[in-house]
Amino acid sequence: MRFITLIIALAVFLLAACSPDNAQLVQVTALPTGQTPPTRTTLPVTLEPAQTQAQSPLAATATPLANNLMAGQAAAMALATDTAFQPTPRSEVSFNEFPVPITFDQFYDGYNMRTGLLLSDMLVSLDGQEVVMEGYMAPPLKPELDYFVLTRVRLAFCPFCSSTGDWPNDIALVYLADGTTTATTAAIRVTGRIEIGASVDAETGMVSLVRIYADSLETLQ
Amino acid sequence: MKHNRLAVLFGLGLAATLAFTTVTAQEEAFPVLILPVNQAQFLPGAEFDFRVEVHTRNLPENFAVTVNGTPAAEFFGADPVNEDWEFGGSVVRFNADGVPAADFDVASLAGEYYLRDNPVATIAAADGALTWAADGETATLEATDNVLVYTVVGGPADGATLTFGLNANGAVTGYTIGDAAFGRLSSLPTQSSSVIWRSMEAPAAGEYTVEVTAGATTQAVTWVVREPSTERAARNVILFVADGMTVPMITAARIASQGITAGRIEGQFAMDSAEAIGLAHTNSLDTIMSDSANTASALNTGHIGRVNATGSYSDTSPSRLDDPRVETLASMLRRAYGMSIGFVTTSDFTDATPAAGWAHGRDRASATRANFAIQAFDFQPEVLLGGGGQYLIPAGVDGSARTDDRDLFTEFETAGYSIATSATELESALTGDALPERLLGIFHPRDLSVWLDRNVYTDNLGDFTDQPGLVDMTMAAIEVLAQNENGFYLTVESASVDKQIHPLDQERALSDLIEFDQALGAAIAWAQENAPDTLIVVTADHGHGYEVYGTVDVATFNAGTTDLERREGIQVYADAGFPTYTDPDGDGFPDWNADVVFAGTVNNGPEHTEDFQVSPVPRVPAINQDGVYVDNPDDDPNGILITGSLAPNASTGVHTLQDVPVFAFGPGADAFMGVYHQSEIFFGMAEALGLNPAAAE
Repeated sequence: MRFITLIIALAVFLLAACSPDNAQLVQVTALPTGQTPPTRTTLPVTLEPAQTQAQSPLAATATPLANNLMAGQAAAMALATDTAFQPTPRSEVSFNEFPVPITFDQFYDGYNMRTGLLLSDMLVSLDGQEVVMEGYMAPPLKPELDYFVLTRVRLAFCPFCSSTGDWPNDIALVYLADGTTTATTAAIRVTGRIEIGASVDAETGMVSLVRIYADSLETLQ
Repeated sequence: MKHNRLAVLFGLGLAATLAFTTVTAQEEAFPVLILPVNQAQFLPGAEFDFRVEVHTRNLPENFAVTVNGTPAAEFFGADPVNEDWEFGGSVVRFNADGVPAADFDVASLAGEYYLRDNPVATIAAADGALTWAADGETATLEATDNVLVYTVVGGPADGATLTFGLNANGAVTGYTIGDAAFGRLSSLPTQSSSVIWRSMEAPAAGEYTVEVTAGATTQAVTWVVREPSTERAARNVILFVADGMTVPMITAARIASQGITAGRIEGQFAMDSAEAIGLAHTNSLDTIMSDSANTASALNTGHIGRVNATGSYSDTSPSRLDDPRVETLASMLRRAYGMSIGFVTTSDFTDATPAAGWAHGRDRASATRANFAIQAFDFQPEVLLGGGGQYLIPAGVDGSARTDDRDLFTEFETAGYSIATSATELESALTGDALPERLLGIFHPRDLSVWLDRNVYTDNLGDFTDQPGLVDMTMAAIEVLAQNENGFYLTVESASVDKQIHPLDQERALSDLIEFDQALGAAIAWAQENAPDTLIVVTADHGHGYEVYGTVDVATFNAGTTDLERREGIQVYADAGFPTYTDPDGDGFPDWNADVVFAGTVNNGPEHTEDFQVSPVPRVPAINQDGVYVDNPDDDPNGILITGSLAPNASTGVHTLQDVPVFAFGPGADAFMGVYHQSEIFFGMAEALGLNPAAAE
């Protein structure tokens, strides 16, 4: 790609429960492939589990949609079930340094028409761990959403104009502790805790297989 | 014009708000919605649901429905079912982005507050003091030094802090107490009281006037039941639909595919040999414009419905699946003749065009489509080939688009279907000892990949490298269906002519149009050889604004560094000459990489750049920037800038108004000569088949 110039950071985007006003996106260079990933410097997300825990994340969240959730409540509900659900990889992959860089190409080992997507051992082994991912922010529906969809390529289509079924497979849902962020069409880097398994966002009904509870969000130039 | 009047009434009903007046019900006029609508056309014996809505809380005492003067219950020999609901109205979602203005009026906080859709509390203001009331409980709100923050005194939340939220414009959006948020109502819902007769049969041929009395309102519609055909000319019918195909696209695809020398096209398209040619209007019930759902529904039912609706007349009820239904051709043919039914598509099989063959629903949302998959299983077409595997696997399986536990793949298998999930499996399903009697072939979780990606830009296929093409799917379907001596009705859809011209991708759309014509050619050859009593009808469901207006000299265009310099490469009239597409392997598909290419554009779209050259990846012409679609810098970066001509939130081109072509071959083809609404294609097919649903057992 052409993200080669290091751009000076504009401001710090913290995603703790009390974020600063006028949060801006830091601009950084893209991850060099094949090199040691950067060390995590930001604080982890501290979202309190708010709902009862359940065996299957889908069973716990596939409830009628709540239209009047407080900001962050849907994220907290998703995190509660994500914390309770621990997927088992066919073959465990271990990691030495965190956050672990992962790309959309590494999510799945394939698709079987009868049994669905085959999640990669790397992806499943990362459940609950710190990762760093790069991609694009899909066009947000409303500014007050406390998540966005990270995509491999820029998407033209309004994600909610048609249906959740129209999303490509290679997406990750990124929950922000702060309710809002600046929408951008630039390439972005997300660092945070990754969670694996089907989950339905309690507010919008968006079904996701991969979620990142973001610690930091940066734009690439 | 009568259609328009009803559409306006429906619109009024949606917008209506409840007015409590002192007049009695007898004197008051109410909006009334009668479905099916005025001038609805039926075949005798066709099944349909009949709903009457009156937009008031309770049916007026003098409410009456008659058909040709006979009380409807007596006419149909059945009592209706009463169903009431509310529709419209909206609750503002709580947010607290705004701050109160200096002259903020506390009285503006008074009003009804809602939790989801339920009214739960009323806040009243008197002399600057606020009170709260809900469920017979009351409390006073004690002011603090913030005009939006109050302490609750009395009632179940005694002592709690109640905080109002304002939006960025300073308008009240709701309040919070503890973790609970309540929204302000922005508009009131409308009450609807209705009666519905389900699964009635259209009476004998004739005109039927339905009159509804409700309070001071008297409203009538007339239904027309047509004389059925008495002679069966065609044993089989194949309906070919190229989604979004227009004459300009056919012209361009023909030149690119067949080549042109000295002004003469060097070969013909299969559709060029049509015995009858027509033009079909595509307008819908509620607008001059149309989408693939209401158009496919018109082709399959003969009824003109609302945009996004299929197999039904849209009512105002909360459910998208309970709207009054009309019967599909496939259903009638199975009832009347025991014919086999097949659907072949390059889209997700729950998408509008194929689903119109069996499904009934008001919209195209994912949840509705998940239900269309169940309706497909319930209908059990003998052949179903396409994409859409995501709707056949249960929720909880990674990649499923269902929200229930239905494993429809397995259910189809248990019902006796041979299952194929790749081109290889499709081939082996047909080469066993015996042909399958029922065949389900699903080759992609979503839409199938387009011809250009399956055959040239294969990097775009991802995991799905073994998908069949439309020709193979069409012939596989015919082979299985033709086992039934009672005949078959097959729909073949090329979905991505539309799906690729939406993002302005002329090469992907035209390649799929060429593939569509080849599938048609194979079907015509089969019919001539094996079943001359097969009617083949070819049409599009709606149009797109694609046109070729010249050629582009690629070298000149690409050498330009400004748009003015690039435009020097666009050649028109005599200078246009001929495109230099070649087809070295003679498969009918050109090599789109050429020195001189079509200057082909779509007459509407978002802001984007256009370089007229084949894109190695599917096009994404515009991207969303703060709610406005702007040029995607990664798409055609060498192209000339074309200003957006749609609303700023439009991401791709849209359907256009023109009549679409109709080509017909075989017995009954004559009926398709002329200019008519596309709903007549249903009646043309029924005519050729001698269909009289009233005669079905």
